[in-house]
Amino acid sequence: MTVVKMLALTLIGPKKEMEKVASLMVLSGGFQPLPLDILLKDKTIRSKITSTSDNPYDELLVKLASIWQAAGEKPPIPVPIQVSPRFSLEIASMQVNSAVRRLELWSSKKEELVEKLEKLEALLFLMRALKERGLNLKDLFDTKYLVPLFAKTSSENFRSLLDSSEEAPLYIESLLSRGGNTWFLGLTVPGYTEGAQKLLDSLYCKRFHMEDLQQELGENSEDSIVKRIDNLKRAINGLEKASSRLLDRNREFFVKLYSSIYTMQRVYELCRGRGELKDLYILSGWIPEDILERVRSDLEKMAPQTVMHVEEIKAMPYSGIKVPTLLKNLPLVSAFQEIVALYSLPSYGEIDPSFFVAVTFCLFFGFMFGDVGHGLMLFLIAVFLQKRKVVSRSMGIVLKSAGASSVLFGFLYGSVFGVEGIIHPLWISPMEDMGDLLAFSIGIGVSIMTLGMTLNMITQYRARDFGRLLFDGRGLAGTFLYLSLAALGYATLKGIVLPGPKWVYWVLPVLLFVVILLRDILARVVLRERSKEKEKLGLYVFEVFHNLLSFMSNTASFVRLAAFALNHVGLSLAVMMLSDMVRNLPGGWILKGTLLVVGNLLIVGLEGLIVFIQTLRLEYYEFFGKFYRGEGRAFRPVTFEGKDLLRNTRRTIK
Amino acid sequence: MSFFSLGERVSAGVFSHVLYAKLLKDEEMWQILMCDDVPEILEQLAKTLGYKDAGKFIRPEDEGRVQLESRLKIIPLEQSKTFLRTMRGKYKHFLVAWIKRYEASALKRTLRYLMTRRGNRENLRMWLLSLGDTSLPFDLLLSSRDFSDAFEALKGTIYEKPLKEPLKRLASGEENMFHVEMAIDTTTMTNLFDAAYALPYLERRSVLKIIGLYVDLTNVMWIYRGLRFYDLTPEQRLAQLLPRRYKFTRSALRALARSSDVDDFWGNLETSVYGNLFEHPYSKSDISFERDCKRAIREAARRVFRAGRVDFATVIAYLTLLEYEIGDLCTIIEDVRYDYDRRQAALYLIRPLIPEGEIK
Repeated sequence: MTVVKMLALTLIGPKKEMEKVASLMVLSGGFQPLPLDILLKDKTIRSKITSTSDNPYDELLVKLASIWQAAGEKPPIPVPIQVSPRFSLEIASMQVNSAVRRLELWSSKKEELVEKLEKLEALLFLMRALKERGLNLKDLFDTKYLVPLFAKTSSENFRSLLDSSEEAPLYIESLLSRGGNTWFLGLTVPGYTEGAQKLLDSLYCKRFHMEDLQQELGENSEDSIVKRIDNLKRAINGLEKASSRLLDRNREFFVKLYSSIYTMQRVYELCRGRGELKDLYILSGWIPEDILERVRSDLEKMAPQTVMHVEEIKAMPYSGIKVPTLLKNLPLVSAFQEIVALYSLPSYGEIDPSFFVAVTFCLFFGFMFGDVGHGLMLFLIAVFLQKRKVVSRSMGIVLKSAGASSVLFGFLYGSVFGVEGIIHPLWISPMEDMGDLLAFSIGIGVSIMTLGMTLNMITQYRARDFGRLLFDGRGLAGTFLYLSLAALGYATLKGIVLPGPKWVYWVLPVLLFVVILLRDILARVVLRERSKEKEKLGLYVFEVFHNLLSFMSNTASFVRLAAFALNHVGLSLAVMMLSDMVRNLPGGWILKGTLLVVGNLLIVGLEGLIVFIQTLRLEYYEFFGKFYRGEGRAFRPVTFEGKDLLRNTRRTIK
Repeated sequence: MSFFSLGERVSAGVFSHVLYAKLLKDEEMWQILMCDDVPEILEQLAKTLGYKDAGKFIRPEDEGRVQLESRLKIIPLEQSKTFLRTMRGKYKHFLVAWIKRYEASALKRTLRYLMTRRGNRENLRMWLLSLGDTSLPFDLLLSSRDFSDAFEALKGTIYEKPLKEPLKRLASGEENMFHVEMAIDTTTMTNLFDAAYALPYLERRSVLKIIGLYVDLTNVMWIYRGLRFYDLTPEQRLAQLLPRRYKFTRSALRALARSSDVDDFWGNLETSVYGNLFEHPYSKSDISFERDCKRAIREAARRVFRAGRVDFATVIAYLTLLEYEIGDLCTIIEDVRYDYDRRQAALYLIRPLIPEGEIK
């Protein structure tokens, strides 16, 4: 039941060790980096340290992806994997570069061939289109008073071009539409050539200049152009197949390399806050004390020149930054951490109430919902819901604990499905011993309130605030006042005669009340303490009265424990009576059975939910209100998405 | 299909009515506008029904403003995805096209990052992850060294064809994202309009009241920008328009594109089918013109929503209203950041607001 001690870790070492250190810290699963610009308040030091944003693995990742792209495939979806400690940037670069060197050559060659093919195909289309119109290329090349524009664009853009060309001295004629593209011939006047070019550019038209086409045509006939096109297509196809073959032969290796590089890219990216000072790197962050030694020994092996600086900081001297909280509890208790976190995580250094919540939650729930049958049903429902992943593991454990506690209290009350008398009560019967049940619930209330105030005193002791510890309404004075009032109330109700003169029992609470009222003055005079927080007098007096009233209201609130226990019996009785009433109707036994099943399910579902809410209320309001502040920030170590990776890696590091 | 999925559409419509009740009241919007800083905005939002969770997990030590804006902008996407799960057939197809707009905006943001290399790439990556399933290889895009790499990464996606030439231009040294962004917008909006057009008659009519207006006003905005900022010729203005139109006729768009200057443009717009949307076109500033366009679309969505039907169109109307509300919230966050005069700032919100939030 502790908040794990958190240490501020700063690593300084030569840049060549940076990669190994970053990898180790991420894979350790227990490092939350702190940006250096937050950590370094001193502007002079900060100005000398640079933060780098380049990631050397970016380039490798893209280069490697080009292997799939060249083969006409999509690159695989990268996943973080376990990377060998020997894997480094140099090795990765070497492997990637040797793999893609040939590919880059093929790719540039292919690009060249595709460009050539596009031009030849355009030339062929133009020749054929002109031939159909009884013209030839020479006529076009010799045009004097008009400027011909031959280009290709997407069919969608061609429609826009047709539409917009009506606003300009430009005539457009479609020559061929194929595969979503349109080849067209435009004619414009010499004065509008520039405007036409702009228009074509805005619609991403690829223009083929007449001079280039004329040069390409040379003395070639249509047949020889067709032959050249076929040859080019064959060559391009060959290059594509070569890329596919390369990928097929080494697919497994490439996929693994791709994932390794992706993993290392993430390692670099996640530890971005690092700083650099000449040839040194600096990396700072939080680390839990319990993994420090493991990290230290790994670091000594992997990065011997890196220096570790560790210090414990209880409160950061910078606004907005808090030491993060990591809770460590026994497996059963850790499930109740979620109940605590629902309210708020404890601040670093604050008491972790998870253990008390685990105990009191079961106590309250069982007290209000004590029934062997219903508790068992709740337990089984919780098992089912957890198995079907409807509820989280921790919520499943909480529900199962609540069910088990109900079963236990069911035996204590002698209640099975709301029927008392089937088994003998080991303690009391709620319906018959109503007074005792109420008295016990109040007794539990007094104990919980006292526990809350005791925990508050521990917190004040840790904070070295002795004034509040001794004289506050939730400190020692408050606890004595509360207990003396509780004892007085109990004695009066029970008619017990207290020893000694009566006035002492009335004067003591008044004295304690005055002590609470004069808390700050007494702390200054008796303990010579300076007030840490200036509080307005009026507000403080109001707070004291509020505390006094809350003693009464919070204690009375625990009456609900008994009330809900009775309510449970009453509700179960109602279901029984209803089922008895329908027994004599036609099909009565079926009706009775149905009513019993539905009624009991309703009790477990509806009443169980209400009791759950009431339990939370008692925890959060009555108990936490006495000592707990919360507002902690969870410890968020840098990790990958895949948790299996971390588990595997930890095993390897060990 | 349409009949068998009636129950799903009605329940989605009812659900959108429930969510509509969570949208901000005018008074709440006014209170948020009056905040002094982001933590106070977070505090105000936490008090509202619709955004009480928006500020959760935003740590003050982080850049609260950026985080809050990112968080808010993701809400319409999350809600659209909720509706997507219940839809089938043409309705699903439309919602997919609707959701693709968010993917498009993420793509634009990623390409902008590649161009400027400014900002935190890890934050961008986290934001992209929060978009959920996507057909775009954002990991590869973020790792691209240049726009050629980016194009290689986009191969096989719906953006391969429209972005081929614009990205080639960027790779060869073009210094602005104008053509790329236009190509992305054209692709997504054309798909959206086509998907709306494919809906069954009654719902198509209602949905097109919003989407059609959106397409028409986008064309108007693009003509205006071409005239005002980029000095494009009339034929260039026409060439860059979306290949779809709703109430505008070809000749009306042609007349707008032919405008000789801004005054001529206002005159042509006033006589067009949308003339009544702009009260005093002659005194318009660029920012108020854009606001009026958005207000018109918001008003159209409100009318569709208030028609009282509980169907697919109601869902789209609600999502539109939500998007514009979040647009306003992001504007307010900026207003607060630069400490603009709030009464003045209120004039530029999409939602018409007057002091204290009383409805105009």
